[in-house]
Amino acid sequence: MVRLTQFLGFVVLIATCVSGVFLEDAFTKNWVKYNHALIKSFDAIQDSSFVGVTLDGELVKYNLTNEAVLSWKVTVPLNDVEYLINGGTILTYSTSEDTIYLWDIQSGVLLNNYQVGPVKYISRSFGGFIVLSSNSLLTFVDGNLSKEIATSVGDIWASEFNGLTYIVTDDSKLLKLDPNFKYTTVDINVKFSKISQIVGNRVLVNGQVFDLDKNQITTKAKVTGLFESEPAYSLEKNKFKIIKDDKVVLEDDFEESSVKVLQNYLLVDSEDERKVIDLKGFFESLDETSINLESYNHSITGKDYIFGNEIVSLIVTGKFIQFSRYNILLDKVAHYNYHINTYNLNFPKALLINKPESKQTMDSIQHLVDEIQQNNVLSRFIKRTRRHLVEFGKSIISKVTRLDFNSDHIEITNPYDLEKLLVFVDDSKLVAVDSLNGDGVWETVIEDGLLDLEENGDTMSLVYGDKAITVSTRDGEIIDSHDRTSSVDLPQGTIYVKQVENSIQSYKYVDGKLIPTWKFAKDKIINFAIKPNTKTGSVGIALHDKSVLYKYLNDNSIAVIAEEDGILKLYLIDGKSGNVIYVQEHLKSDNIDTKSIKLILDDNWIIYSYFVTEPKYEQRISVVDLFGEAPTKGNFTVPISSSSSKSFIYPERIIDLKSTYTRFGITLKSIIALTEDGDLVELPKYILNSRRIDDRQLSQNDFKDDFRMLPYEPVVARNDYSVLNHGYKLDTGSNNLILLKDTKLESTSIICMINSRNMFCTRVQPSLSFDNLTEAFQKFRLIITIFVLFVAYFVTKPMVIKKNLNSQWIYKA
Amino acid sequence: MKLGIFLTAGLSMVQAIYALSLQGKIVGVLPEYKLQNAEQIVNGNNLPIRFTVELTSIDGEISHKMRALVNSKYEFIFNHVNPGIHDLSLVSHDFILDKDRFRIEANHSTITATDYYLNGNKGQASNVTDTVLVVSVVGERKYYEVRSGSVKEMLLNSPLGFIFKNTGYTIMFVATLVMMAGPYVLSIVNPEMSKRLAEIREEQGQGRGMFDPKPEAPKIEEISRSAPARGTKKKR
Repeated sequence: MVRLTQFLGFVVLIATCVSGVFLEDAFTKNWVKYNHALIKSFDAIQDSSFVGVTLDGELVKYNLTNEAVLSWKVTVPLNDVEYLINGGTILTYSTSEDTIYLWDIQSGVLLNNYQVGPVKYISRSFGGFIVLSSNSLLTFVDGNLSKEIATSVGDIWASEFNGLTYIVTDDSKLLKLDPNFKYTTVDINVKFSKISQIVGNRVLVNGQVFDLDKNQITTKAKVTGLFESEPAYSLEKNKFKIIKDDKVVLEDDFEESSVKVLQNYLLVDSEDERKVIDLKGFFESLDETSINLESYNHSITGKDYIFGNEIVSLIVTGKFIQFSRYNILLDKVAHYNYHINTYNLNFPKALLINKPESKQTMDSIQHLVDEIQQNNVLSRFIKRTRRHLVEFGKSIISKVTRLDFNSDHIEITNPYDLEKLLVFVDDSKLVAVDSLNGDGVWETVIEDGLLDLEENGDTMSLVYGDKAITVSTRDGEIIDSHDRTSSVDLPQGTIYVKQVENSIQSYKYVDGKLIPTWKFAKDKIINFAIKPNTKTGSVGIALHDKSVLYKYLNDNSIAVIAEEDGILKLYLIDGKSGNVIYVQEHLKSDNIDTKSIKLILDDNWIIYSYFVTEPKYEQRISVVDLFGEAPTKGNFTVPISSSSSKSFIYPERIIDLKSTYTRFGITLKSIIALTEDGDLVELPKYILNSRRIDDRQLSQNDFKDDFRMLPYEPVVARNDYSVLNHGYKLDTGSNNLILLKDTKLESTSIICMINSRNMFCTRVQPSLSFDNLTEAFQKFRLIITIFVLFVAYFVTKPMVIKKNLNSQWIYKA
Repeated sequence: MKLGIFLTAGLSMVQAIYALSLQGKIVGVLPEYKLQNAEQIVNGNNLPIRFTVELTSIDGEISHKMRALVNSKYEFIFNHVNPGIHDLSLVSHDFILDKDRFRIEANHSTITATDYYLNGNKGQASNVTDTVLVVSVVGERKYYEVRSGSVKEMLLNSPLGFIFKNTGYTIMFVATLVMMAGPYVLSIVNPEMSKRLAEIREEQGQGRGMFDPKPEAPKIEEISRSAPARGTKKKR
């Protein structure tokens, strides 16, 4: 029987724990934004997208179809990352590090990495790359293989021509490399140091064109550069000349700064216009009439590319992208301006605050309140009833006629307070984004030297050394700036606690001054947590014998983890008196990584996570539940009567903890753990329950003695359904902040995880959505069902009556 | 002092020269595997980058941590594994691995890997100096619940779902259901007809042997004539 009960308990647990993210909610009720540093170098690729390398060495790809959407982002483990694209492959390298990485341009998948030495020269070859390293090794690499070509090569110029790779070495040799990596070597009469450009089988040497196959200078006239086809060009003193076989075949006047040569095209830019001169036909016939000239509106001074029949221009400046596509055949141009949605979070604090209603809505509500308060009770009732009826009538008429009658309607845009503002500092700006969708709400430029951010209802304070600036959370407007006499601004009589070296120092805030009260000093203070001001739904646990196990609910509790005589100890301190209420110590044999300790204190429990390296390498979570004597006349500050403690093992390393809370504290508590792998995991408190039985089988009474009581199992299994970020993989950084805020729905809180690499917001519902119908709830089907039941009732009623009547009669055979 | 620095530097160089590499491979990822809603996820088409492979030195203090990138063939390599004890952890955001934690013991000539479990049990130690450490994918991580509730979905997911997924089976099933439930429904809708049919069946059953010729069906007029007159009050 006991086993059956245990089994049933387990089934119930599994059934209730499995409250995963619904697929239809997964990408609508939560969002993630990946941050990266500013893009330092970039290149457009086909299909309206570009790749770039950031100042922090991240390789990113953006799609530019309707907006700038980050497609993939990888962190290249190199300093001073540079890159080269060839077809569908990107090679990233550094001039100071040994390893090169090759990535697939579509997906960002790492194709391969090779250790070739610090890169000195790199060029495209046979769909891959020719790499010359600082250790004089010439290698061919692509996604599949690395092939050593030659050693003892000092320096090279390389290009592709007629299915071969031409490599000019610094000892004046030409290597013609075929796709089987076999090459012929010929001596050439060229001074390597004077080469300034290589195109196909031609090099530009000292302003003259040298043909590598003919091994001679083919154009002696001074030229500036080479076209992809045979001719060269010169551009001096605003005179542009096309030179072929030492003869000027075309000449025109262009401003030097306005001309760009792109393959066989000449692009001439004026203020807001670009002329596209197609010289391909001219190079074949040398007939001026075969020159095609088109022009289009153009004002981008960025990089230009030719993809098929399109000239693509791109510039990425800071967070702004200017992008244009000009179709040469159709003579059509499209310009796009995009904004890169990334932030540089350089301040270690962020806030999740309530989103205020718009000023217009607030004014309307105030006007209504003022109007109502002027009258007596009866008059108010009549007015309210009349207003409701008018609103109802307008609503029905507007639905039927599709006319808008709601011009004077007071629209509450955020009725359940599910929309919050995530406020953080991005470089020199204070930024607020909507927690519902991640869209920017407002930005305000702020002064340097910010020390703290504080929320005060509809405003927030930016704390500087001796002054504070008040900012409206409605629109980010700076309301005022005032002096601060104290480092903190608290209500009179508030107890303020802070860590001072290896002690916890308590102060009382009196007349704008902090007066020291008590001090708790140990060898080393590792972490401390103050009990948050959250509500508790129940003051105790009803036991099977109808008695109550009262929780220890001291609002002034402070939990401290400290090291004393080499032993790690947990202390619970009364914040008013400074008295130690509870102590728990760890075994000396446990080698705990003290940097990994995270501590939370809420309700009647303390939970802390830590990483142990000895005797085993594992992540542990310790739970302490505290119980007190029966409160007298609402006074819950009673001594601790009993306590229990248990440790659990979690499969992944935990780097931060947070406890959930709701408006009235009725909803179950959950512990949110951020793992090193980037999972934001919701662990119900009843799993982390120190009262779980570990020394005997559970009895019927045990099940009645606690909510969802379970036998003790040291390992808390990984449950993918409880990963709040589901398919989104979060990057964990050094300053991870888990922010939580309650809503007007008791079941729901908003949670955000923010660090320099990403921002993620979602809803957390530890007791599921018990006070809110899901969007999938089919109201129409419910109404139809009720209607059908009514019809069935009225149709069958006479039939039943008739049948009953007939049953009173007998039939003669 | 200088000698000490020289010796330390020399030792570091020797360690670097003799440091071994640890190679690993994750097998069992189907080439056609695609993430659900991959297009909405950054790196959604980059499954290898969604693996986290870390090697942490656990000689006393946690001092040194290395992270390896997983390539398109799901291979990874730590090029310089220093002598000592390390913890190798492999976590995938998308897959469940058969072994996700190893204790790596390295000296100047060999590297051994021992998989160990959270309950403290150790697996078998294997020499991975010249071989590749192979980890298998045994399942995929499921984050999403699909909201159920539609009648069609309930039917298709019921034990009888295989019938409704096939049109032929569905027709046969409905026909059988009608034949089985028909007499019962008829007894409610038209008890006289039901009773008469039952009598006919009974008569047919009594009067016909296995090889008897099929009797003619009674005509409708006969049925209606033989039907009892309605309206007779039950005698009490």
